[in-house]
Amino acid sequence: MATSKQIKDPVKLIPTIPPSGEFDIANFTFERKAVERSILLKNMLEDLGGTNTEIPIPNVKGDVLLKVMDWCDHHMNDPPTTGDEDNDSRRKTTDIEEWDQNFLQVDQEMLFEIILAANYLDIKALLDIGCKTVANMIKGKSPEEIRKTFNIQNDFTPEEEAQIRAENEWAEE
Amino acid sequence: MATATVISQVMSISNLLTVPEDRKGIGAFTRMPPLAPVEEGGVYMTIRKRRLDSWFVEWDCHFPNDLEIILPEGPGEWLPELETPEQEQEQQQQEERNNAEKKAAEWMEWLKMMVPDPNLQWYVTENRDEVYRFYVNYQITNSLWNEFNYHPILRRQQQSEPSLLISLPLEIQVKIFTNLSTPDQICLGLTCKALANTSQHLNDGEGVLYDSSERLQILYRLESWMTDELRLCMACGMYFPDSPGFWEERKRSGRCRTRSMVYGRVYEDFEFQDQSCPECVAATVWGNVAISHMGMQMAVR
Repeated sequence: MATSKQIKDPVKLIPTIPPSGEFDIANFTFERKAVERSILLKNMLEDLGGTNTEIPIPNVKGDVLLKVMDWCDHHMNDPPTTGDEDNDSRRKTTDIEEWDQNFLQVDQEMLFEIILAANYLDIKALLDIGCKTVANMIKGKSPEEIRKTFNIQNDFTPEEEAQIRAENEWAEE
Repeated sequence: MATATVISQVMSISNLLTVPEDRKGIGAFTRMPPLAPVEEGGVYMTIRKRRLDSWFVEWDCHFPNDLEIILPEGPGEWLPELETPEQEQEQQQQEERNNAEKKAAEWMEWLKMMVPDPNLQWYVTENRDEVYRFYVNYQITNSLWNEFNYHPILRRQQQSEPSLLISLPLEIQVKIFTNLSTPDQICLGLTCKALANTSQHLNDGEGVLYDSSERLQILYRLESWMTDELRLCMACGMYFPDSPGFWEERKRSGRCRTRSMVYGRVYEDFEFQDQSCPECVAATVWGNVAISHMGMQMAVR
């Protein structure tokens, strides 16, 4: 955790939805470099200048924020992404580093919360590995298996499914 | 007011519920337990075995997921059309029927358990082709209907939360899609309408695109999504009904794709062989015959 280390340049993040259990603001003090993994917070810190180092974080639960900052802490020294990687070369590689894999071995609710938080805080790398993790959960499964995995209700009627088969020329009935 | 109209409607058709005199001792009626006394307000309720469907599998309700309840819609539906079965067939099917009757008895036990009303008597009035008709009091039928159909749907809407995956913003859903291979994208798009809509946003609004090299792979993956009656022909890359009747009808109506002269001379020709449809098999066999015929002609010269 961030608190166990000596923090050179501390930034306090104050979640508006506090975590379950005892809320200790000391737990929410992070290294500036880690916080700057989030483009949203980086811009905010730049706008605020060096004096104010307390940032309220709405929309992200305290537990999720801790988890996200855990990831940022681990990855704070990674080279910044070029931001121009949305091309096909990256598209089907769903390899995830081992540390990240272990990091994202959480229940589905937490996983989706992390993805939403990464999206909100604009942490592209975390959003990417979150989406890749979900994609890995889908890979190789039939529609029915996917529905079971993600608790999706099938709202297609048999007639609509037959229409899909006919339109795509998958079947002749 | 509504109840009164329903009762009067039921009374007017209640005479349909008796077994006609000329049908007594025919078919299923011979094996039937004594028919329920026809009272005012009695209707038939049909419970039949249904194909396993994801809807039912995922329902968190007490109703067995391979059964469905059908309430009659019109008077025409009330009495089954029965044909006099021949005695030979009767003997052959006797065993199956005994099993079916056992199962009907099990279901009756289950119904009694689900509707713990000692005043209510259940009668099996028909069982053939896995269709069971039970005679019940109209009010009870209504309560059953509410219990097993109305309630679970309501509960499903109230209790089961929408899938977290669907509640993600569209751009994240699209991002997840782009991390998937084409067959996976198609499988994900077929899970529900929301994700099907998301898949339409892929490839700059073109939807999921695939070429012919991926077609077989995709079709193979969709095997469990297809209905039980359909079977994949690996030669023409398409699902077709497995039943020989379909192929026979195609040949009869001149829509058959093979030019084989011998296709369809025997009924077995209309069956799938390995992973090819009957017409592909016939085309291959006929092609081989034609080639060897040409070869022989060359040899003779």
